[in-house]
Amino acid sequence: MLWYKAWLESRTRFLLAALAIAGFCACSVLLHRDGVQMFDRPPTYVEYIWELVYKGYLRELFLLLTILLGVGGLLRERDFGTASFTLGLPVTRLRVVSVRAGLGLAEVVALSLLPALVIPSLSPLTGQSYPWSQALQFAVLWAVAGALIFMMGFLASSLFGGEYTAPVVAFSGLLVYSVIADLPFFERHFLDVNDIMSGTGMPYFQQHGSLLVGPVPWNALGVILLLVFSLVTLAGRITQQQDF
Amino acid sequence: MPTPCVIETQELTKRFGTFDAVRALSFRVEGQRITAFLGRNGAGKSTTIKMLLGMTHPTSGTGTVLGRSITDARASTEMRRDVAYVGEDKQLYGYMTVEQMIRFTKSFYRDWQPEVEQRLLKQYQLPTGRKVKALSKGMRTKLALLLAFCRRPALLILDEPSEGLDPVAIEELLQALVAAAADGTAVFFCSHQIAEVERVAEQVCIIDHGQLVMNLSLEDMRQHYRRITLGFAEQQPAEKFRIQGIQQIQTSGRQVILTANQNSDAIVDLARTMDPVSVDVSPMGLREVFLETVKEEA
Amino acid sequence: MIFSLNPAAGQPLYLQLMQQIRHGIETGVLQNGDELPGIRTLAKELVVSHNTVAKAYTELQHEGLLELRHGSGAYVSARRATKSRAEKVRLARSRVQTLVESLRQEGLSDEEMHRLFEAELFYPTFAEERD
Repeated sequence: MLWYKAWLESRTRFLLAALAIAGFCACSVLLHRDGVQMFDRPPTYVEYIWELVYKGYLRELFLLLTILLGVGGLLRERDFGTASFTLGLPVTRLRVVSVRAGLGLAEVVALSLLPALVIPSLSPLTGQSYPWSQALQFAVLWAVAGALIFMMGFLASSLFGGEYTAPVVAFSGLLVYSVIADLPFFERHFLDVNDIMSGTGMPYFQQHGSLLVGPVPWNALGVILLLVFSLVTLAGRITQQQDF
Repeated sequence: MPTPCVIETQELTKRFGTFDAVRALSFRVEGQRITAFLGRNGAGKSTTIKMLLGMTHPTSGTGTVLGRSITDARASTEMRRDVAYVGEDKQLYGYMTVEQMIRFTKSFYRDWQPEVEQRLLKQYQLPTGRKVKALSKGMRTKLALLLAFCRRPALLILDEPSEGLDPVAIEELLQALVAAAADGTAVFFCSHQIAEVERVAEQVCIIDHGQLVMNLSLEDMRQHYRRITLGFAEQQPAEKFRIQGIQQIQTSGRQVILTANQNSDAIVDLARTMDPVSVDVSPMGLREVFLETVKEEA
Repeated sequence: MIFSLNPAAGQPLYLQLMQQIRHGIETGVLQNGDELPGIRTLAKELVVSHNTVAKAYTELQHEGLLELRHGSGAYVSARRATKSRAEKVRLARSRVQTLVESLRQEGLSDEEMHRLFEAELFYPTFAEERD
């Protein structure tokens, strides 16, 4: 029942995040007529959605929310005094860590799917239409990238206790990473997660029309997933060494 | 009948920076009995228990609980199947209700007894639908105890179990400990309530400044420990009383107060040859023995 | 019968229990065939370790005062010889009463008398106790 416990611990954050994401998507769709005023020249619907959702605002909100989903773990339990109960159960620390990570990753995938569900289904209400294929491809990109960012938050929470320390450290780490990845030297060599999510500069993305055109970059995604699983193992090892 | 050893440590040490919380602790706890673990605050009791349960890693030394090494993660996890632990914190997941806590805990063990669960829910008057964060400290303690008593573990470890309980609840707790021991569970508990310990415990381990300073059977203590108060017409030097069996010598004016832990009759014989004006022999309770033992170390 | 054990009395609890059961048998409060509570039950009632009760019962069984029937409890098995024991105790009690009264008249306080008795009892200590 460790999954149940992990769910109860993250449920509120997950539902609020889902609400925020779904809400933002719905507003973007429904306020389309007002939203296009912000642009220099009238964008296509796809360009409009890309600018608001997949490149900018929602993307950043999504990353912040996935970091917050990673908060918790045995160090937080130590602060609350329940660590000795959890550790008294006949389960290994690795199992406790991997269950919490597993549930969090599943929640990240669910959150990634939300824009793909909301946008294409609500668009007809304003007389627009958004292609399901675009939405689902973005969902895949976001799920994998989101998983990596989630693990940054998760790893931070395995190292730092305190109510705010872990998410602040993780978010700072993400900012530093984004800045470094934008520097000209690194642009060619780094996997810039932000760009993977929005498609900017990627071979599978066409700037004109803001469309995903090429095949999903499975190799890059595979590497990221490998990294995600190693981070889970790392978090497990870190937790194994700690004293409670 | 040989009793199986449930806990054994060899030179168990835990160092935090420059502070030695536990120093070269070596002791055995036998099965089929109730053993108490006494010590002042900060003496190292909780740290020792956490090392035994794999929550804290020893700096050095080894130990086994139910025959399984405490430093091996897999063995330790297996061992916890047969050990019920009620920690000092007694904090349970605040966001779960009483019923959810029970269902959650139950799922990890094969030896859960639903009849005991029903009986204790009624006895402790725990509201099943209430969230743990809304429970008073006493009710939380009772819930923590319930989660331990509904099982039939080979070993029950409790750290200050009576904290936060009213006298009636304490009495019920002691009865539950006695019943558990009668059913074959070895009981190992820490408590500051010396009166409680004195009633139910058979063996007492005293830890002070991270070291084991005494490991004695209470029946032996009752039978052999004596406070011998001697009055003399003139002051006597303490050295005269350094005899086998005398644990401590105190002088106060013309009085000499001896703590004898064996052969008190022979010691009184010897004392009488020194022509005391008064001889008083009285038994010692656990509180006196404990206070004397830990003060000695200071 | 209600028992009362004192952990601070300087006497092992199982011995105290044995004495109280023996006393009950001597005075006739416990009679031949009476059933005593089971080990687990009595331990819970007195809130002492079951080993204490078990040891007391076993020792009394060796003395022939109790019969432990597997599964069904402990039964008093008082023999005729204990009747005269009860007599002895009754006579001793009146002698103690006389002595205490006369010592009081000599001006000794109860405290002093108590200490004299204790010293006398502890000094030869448990010479009668078997190991």
